Amino acid sequence: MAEYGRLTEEIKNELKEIVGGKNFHESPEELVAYAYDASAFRFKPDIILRPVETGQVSRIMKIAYREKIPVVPRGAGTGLTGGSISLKGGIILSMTAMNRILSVEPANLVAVVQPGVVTEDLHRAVSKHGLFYPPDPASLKSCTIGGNAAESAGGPHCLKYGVTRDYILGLEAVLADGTVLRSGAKVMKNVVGYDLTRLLVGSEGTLAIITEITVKLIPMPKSTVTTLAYFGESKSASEAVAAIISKGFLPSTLEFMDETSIRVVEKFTGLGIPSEVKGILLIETDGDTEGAEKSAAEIEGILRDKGAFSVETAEDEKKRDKLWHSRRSIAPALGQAAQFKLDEDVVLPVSLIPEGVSKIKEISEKHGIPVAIFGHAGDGNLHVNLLLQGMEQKHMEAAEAMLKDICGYICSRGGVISGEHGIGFLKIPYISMGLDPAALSMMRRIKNIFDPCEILNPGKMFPPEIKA
Amino acid sequence: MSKSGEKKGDYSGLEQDLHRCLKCGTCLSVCPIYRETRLETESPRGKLALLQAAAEGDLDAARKFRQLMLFCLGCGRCAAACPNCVDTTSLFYDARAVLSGYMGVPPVQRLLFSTFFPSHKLMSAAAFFGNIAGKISAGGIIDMIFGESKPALMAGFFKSYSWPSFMASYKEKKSGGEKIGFFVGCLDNYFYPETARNIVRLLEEMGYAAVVPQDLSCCGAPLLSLGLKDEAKDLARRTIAAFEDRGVTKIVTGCATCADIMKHAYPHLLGETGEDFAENVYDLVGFLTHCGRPLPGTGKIEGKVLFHTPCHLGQGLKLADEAKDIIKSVPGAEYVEPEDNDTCCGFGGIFSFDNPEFSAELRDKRIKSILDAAPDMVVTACPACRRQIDTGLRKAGSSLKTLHLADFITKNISGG
Ligand SMILES: Cc1cc2nc3c(=O)[nH]c(=O)nc-3n(C[C@H](O)[C@H](O)[C@H](O)COP(=O)(O)OP(=O)(O)OC[C@H]3O[C@@H](n4cnc5c(N)ncnc54)[C@H](O)[C@@H]3O)c2cc1C
Ligand code: SF4
Ligand code: SF4
Repeated sequence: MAEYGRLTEEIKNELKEIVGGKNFHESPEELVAYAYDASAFRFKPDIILRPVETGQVSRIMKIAYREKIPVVPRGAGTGLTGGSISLKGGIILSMTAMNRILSVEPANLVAVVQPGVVTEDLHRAVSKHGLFYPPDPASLKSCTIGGNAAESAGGPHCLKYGVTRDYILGLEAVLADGTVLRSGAKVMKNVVGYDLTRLLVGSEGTLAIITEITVKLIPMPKSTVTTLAYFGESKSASEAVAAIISKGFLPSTLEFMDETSIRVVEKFTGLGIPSEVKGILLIETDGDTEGAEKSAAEIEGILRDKGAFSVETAEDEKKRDKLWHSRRSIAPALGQAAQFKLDEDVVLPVSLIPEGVSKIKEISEKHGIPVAIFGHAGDGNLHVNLLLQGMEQKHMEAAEAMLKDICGYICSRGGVISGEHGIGFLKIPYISMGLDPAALSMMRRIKNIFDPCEILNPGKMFPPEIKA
Repeated sequence: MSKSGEKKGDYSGLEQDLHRCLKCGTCLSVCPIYRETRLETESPRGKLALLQAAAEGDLDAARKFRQLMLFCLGCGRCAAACPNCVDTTSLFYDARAVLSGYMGVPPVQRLLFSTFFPSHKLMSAAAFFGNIAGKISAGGIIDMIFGESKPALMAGFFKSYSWPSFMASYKEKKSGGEKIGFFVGCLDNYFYPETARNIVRLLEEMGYAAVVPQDLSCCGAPLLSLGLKDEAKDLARRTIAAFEDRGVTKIVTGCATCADIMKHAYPHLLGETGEDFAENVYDLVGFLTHCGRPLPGTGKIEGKVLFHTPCHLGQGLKLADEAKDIIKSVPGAEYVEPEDNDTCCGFGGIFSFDNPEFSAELRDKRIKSILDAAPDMVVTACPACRRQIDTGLRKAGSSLKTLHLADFITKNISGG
């Protein structure tokens, strides 16, 4: 266990001088407001700093390194695994003041942004140029590109277009000792040396502080067709997912809802989903108008084949929005259905989706905790929501036992325990289940090279007892 | 409020509702304050976390806490956006009620908003003297009244009020037709009497008879903002009583804030009595949309029209599209929609007096987006937004006119 230094008044003053009084926070109120993220767990930091430029980040890290003070970078705090919570006190480095879009370059198909830019703002800025930045986490209105990069966030579009990692060409980052590192370039091909960009993406703030991001853009698809299909069985819906992919289609969205999700949505939103609906697929095809329509029509054939009894399509924005309604209502409805929910975002090879859905239901029945399964099934990513009736010890213990079974199953079938949300500290107990021991040990060594004093986001990603 | 709630800083009564907040952060994206400052402490989620900490006894809810809780426009965006149905608006009002219990409210503010504002007669007198005071010195008396608040803006308010007020000059006609109660509200009454007259005219043109109870002035919004919940309750009861036995089927107001308060805060304050009343409350947009009668007049309006959606209309009453549809239905009017049209004018009631610079910053952003769209006129449905936008337009050197929807429609009648 690393030994940490104390944030004395003297050090605080030094830090205050770097960011200025306005961006230095330590009142009890501010400590409360920077104690949580969307995991809803809470640990108070000692201070919050809001740098406005890379130079400040570098100077802060130099002091933190010298004094062995923990530093936790924080975007918008929408992470679901406790990634931006300061488990060991120290500094929360809030990146939200570094929120400028530095350039959008249609000629190079790139944009350069600071980490605090809100994802949706980037979407908007590039769409003005007819360009498209596909990664679309559901939290995109609030979360930051820095947080997305640190988690390699994904969303519905990732089935066809890939995740955040696939759209980051280059980074500027500040290392634990304050060194500023640049990796990658504004080019689509780059094999010069190790791919440090890809290493830093998804590193959850444990290797470096990301201070500038060069993202890849693609032309905006001209049109999108949305299809909503109702099934009489969850199983036939999940089989249709596997069928669509195996027949060579790559929809831009392929979302699945199981029976529990549907019932919960209906109960809390009264959308009027008929009671015989036990599985829903929401599919989007995009491209030029003709292509998008043609694929949609062919996919409809597969859906009907697999037993869909109602298939609705829409092209204009308002109607498409309506078809999305049930899918978008799941998270809030689940929030109301349970006292507490645990959202696991497991991934399976796509062909195993039907089996996975049944197997997880079985595990749920065995443990007596209801689950709602939904998600971006097209890319194999399932959100498994455990609906707990309380947060007391007994509930949490039961949930933990059940999660062990689920993760065990997922790993035994070649899947992974998190596709989007990362490890943070909530999923630490499961990381060694899903990783080859040699890989885990290499990761620890990499962590050690980047952050020998364990000041960068300590207590995250790695189980403490396993030391390289 | 219960007796125990009056104990110093006891927020435990809010705990159950606070637990509904899952900290998902969806509300961050819509909060006009957070969007500017990007400070979690000043976000809706942050405010709820502060309340939760106070409720759990983990935070000494004192001066800075109070300041943060009051640093809110009351725009309702967070409540409207919350996927988990956290009623932030009511929580924030309740929090202010607890706050006022132990931190107090400046006595003159209390007097002004609980005694003068609710009464048309007293308000007339206050406005009259305030008007003189405002003209003589922008500081002085008003400084005394508003304590910590910046006085100049409030003085500006009184300086430009219109004499005589609507109420002072209004004579109820004994016309037939379905009776509609008209809640004038303080701002239209004192600053835009012409608009109030146009609302009555509009109702009459549509075949209704307007019923205007005298000596009603304030809906209670400032009382709720100050945390004077008991006084707000009394006022709500008085408002309801004023329309009782007057044979009215609906109550209409030209102020989106008044409508939102009567529709959503009264039930929270008075339970069933408030709910029964709220059911029949409409702001003008909602009324015109749902009354089932056609708009009068077929005259033409030439020009590009921009509708500024008041927060209470768009978020609270959810009538943004309806308002735009009304405008689009007027022959000749070309509706223009600026980019990011869903922005707050930055007024926020008492907020703007407590935080004049920040309020002006939000206002000027809004003005810029309006001017960028180059409309020929700006229409809105809330007198407070209208004043704020007017002030901003003048500051920006623009001669653009801001109208209330009622002025816009009746202009159409006279044009025809
Ligand atoms: C309602 C909801 C829906 C969601 N939907 C999705 C979804 O569809 N797909 C998905 O992938 N995720 C989703 N998430 C999870 C979350 O939004 C993402 O993980 C997002 O990328 C976090 O961004 P953030 O800015 O909030 O980062 P934070 O939560 O603040 O931080 C996340 C991690 O990134 C690190 N970090 C932040 N900024 C930096 C930086 N500049 N340098 C280095 N490290 C940094 C932090 O230390 C932390 O470990 C959802 C969350 C919510 C609440
Ligand atoms: S949107 Fe609702 S649940 Fe989410 S943080 Fe805001 S108040 Fe809490
Ligand atoms: S009411 Fe408006 S200003 Fe206040 S916290 Fe909610 S969104 Fe922000």
